[in-house]
Amino acid sequence: MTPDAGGLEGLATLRDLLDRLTRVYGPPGREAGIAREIAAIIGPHVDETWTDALGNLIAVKAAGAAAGPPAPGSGRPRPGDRAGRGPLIMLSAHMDQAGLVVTSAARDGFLRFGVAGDLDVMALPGQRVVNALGILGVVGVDEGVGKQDLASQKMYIDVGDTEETEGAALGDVFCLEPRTGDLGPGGGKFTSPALDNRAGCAVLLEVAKGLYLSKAAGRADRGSRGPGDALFPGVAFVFTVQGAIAPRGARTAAFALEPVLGITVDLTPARSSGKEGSRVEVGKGPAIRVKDGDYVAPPRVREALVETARKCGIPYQLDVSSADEDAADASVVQVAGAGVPTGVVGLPARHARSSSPVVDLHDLEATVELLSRLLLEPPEL
Amino acid sequence: MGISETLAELSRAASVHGHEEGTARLLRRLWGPWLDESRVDTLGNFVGVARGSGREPRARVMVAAHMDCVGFVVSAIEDGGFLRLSGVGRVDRRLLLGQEVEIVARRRLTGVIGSKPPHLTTPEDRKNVPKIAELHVDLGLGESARDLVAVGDPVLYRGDVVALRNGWVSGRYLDDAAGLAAIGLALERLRDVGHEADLVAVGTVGEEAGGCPGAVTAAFAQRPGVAIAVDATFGRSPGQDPTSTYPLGGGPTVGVGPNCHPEVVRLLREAATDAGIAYALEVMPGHTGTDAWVMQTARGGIPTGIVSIPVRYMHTPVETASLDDVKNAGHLLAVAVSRVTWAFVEELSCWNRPPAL
Repeated sequence: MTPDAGGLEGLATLRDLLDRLTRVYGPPGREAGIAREIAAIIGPHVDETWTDALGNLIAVKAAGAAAGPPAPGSGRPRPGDRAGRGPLIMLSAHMDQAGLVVTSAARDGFLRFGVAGDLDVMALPGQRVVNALGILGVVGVDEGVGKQDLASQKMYIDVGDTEETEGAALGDVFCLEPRTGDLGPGGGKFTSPALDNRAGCAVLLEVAKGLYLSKAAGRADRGSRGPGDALFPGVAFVFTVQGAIAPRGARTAAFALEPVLGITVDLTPARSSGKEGSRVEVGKGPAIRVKDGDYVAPPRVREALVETARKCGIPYQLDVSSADEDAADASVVQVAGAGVPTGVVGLPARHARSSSPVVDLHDLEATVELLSRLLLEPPEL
Repeated sequence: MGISETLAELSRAASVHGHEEGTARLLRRLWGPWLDESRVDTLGNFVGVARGSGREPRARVMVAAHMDCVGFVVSAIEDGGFLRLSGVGRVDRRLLLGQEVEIVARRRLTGVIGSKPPHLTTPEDRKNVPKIAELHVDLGLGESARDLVAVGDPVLYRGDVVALRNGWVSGRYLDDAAGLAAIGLALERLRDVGHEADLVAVGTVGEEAGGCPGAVTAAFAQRPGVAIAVDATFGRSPGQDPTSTYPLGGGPTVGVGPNCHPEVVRLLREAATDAGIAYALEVMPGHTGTDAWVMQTARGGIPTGIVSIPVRYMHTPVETASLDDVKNAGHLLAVAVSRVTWAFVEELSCWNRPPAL
């Protein structure tokens, strides 16, 4: 697929991409910065890129040359305007990260906050956090609060002094300080607070790059696939907003794009130590979702993913996640408009809801490979 | 085919969300003779249309019952070939120990959910109902289970529908075999009675799994002027609250509450009264847990109604219902649908109509 996929070079590319993406500030509702960063990376590899009303970043690689960007002056496509576009497969990943939203700014320099997103409150005390202006704070816990009673209401962000308190207004959002790192002998595993879900974004970006390169290569070999090009249907790479709090951006993007198939990519909690827990493991390949709390994978989408993985010798795992976990974007993509068959490919992560999730770069690489193969030979749906 | 045989077939075909294709195939056979066209849509809903006799523009009525049922999928295959389960829908875990189950793998397999002998339980064990994740299914296969079963395969209650006395039947998944059977009866009757409106008969996917993905997408795609969900409601049995349960043999229920448009309620009640069909009013104060909940807010809003068939012991392998109630629900639906006209639907969607007092 990607010429440099496989081997150390491919892993190094992914690692650097993750490092770059996870350093960008972007909590729910404040995705403009990360959207710009992603747009800059994906731009050269797609035909058209735009941001919709909610802030979702949509990058379309059209099927064939005929369905390229709209003619000058024709304006951006409006939601639901599919004329001349041909069928699309929607690949989506939420680009926001969990954040701490300031709920009261007392004059003592202690900011109260609520948590937006899947962050375990156990993970918060003592963390370093920064807001959009780069103001540093640390999370403290009220005196006398026992471990059993830990709750975000009993914590605060200490920004040092009253001057800084005034620089951090109500509604301001702090994110975990983006400290990244490599684990394991010779690397291979990577940690960063924003892996949920910049890891998914990185996978989409690598898929887009690979398709672009293979399409360029495919020109010499025209006619081997769908109408007029190496890619059919077209692909919409959608980087959604507010996915860390609830599947929201994905809902409107899927409604507007009316894809024939949806695939969402997100972190999935993997087994760490202890008896109870997930059956998915880090390092054993992408986790093809069977069901979770709000979503059951249509068997034909799941089978298409499994079949592709088998055919191409890509490792994979089947993921039945426990009933009460909240669903990924898939649960809403699926019911958009008249319905979109939607699959979920999970990136296994240990301590997924902590300040330091750990992913294996090999899993990400295998996911890139799996999705690229699926797009080049999409299932009949 | 008799109504009890239809229910038995629907019960046999039922499966959890994602695996409704068997029921869709069966509906093609059961409803097909009265439909002008039918198809299975993107998410797997069975959508049949019986065209009305009215001139264009014709009203469109959607009548929906769900094809999926509560059950499980295999979440892991453990050493020794034991299966672990994950529940799909609102499964009652008090029932599960010692239950026979059917695993829908490459072929249908029988398994049992194991339980510790009472001699070996601790006092603590005897007080607790185990979580689904703590149970295991024994196929008698050992390690070779891995060759036959895959993670994600459906696991269902096992057993046929049996006849009790008094025209009552009992078995797995009458919720919502009863609703699907009632729609079939309505279609059959409407062929003779005639109807002005187009009737869109839908078997939906995923009602039990949560979120009703089938109903919301079918309602979006079909743009009905009125939508009626046909589902099971709580049958009365000893020790149950009489205000939220309904006697078997007392006829279908007509839902009232925020999920049911007053004019659709009136349509259903008048149809029942005029046709001499006994019914009960079912007060549904909030979320109804039916397809109507999402159909109501599809697109710009759809006037909805709910017709239910009392089923005792809901979500158990011994759901019990009265055949007469199923027949009467079908009769009621037919009379109501036959009365839907373009004028009726227009009136419902008229924005400046003063509220009825």
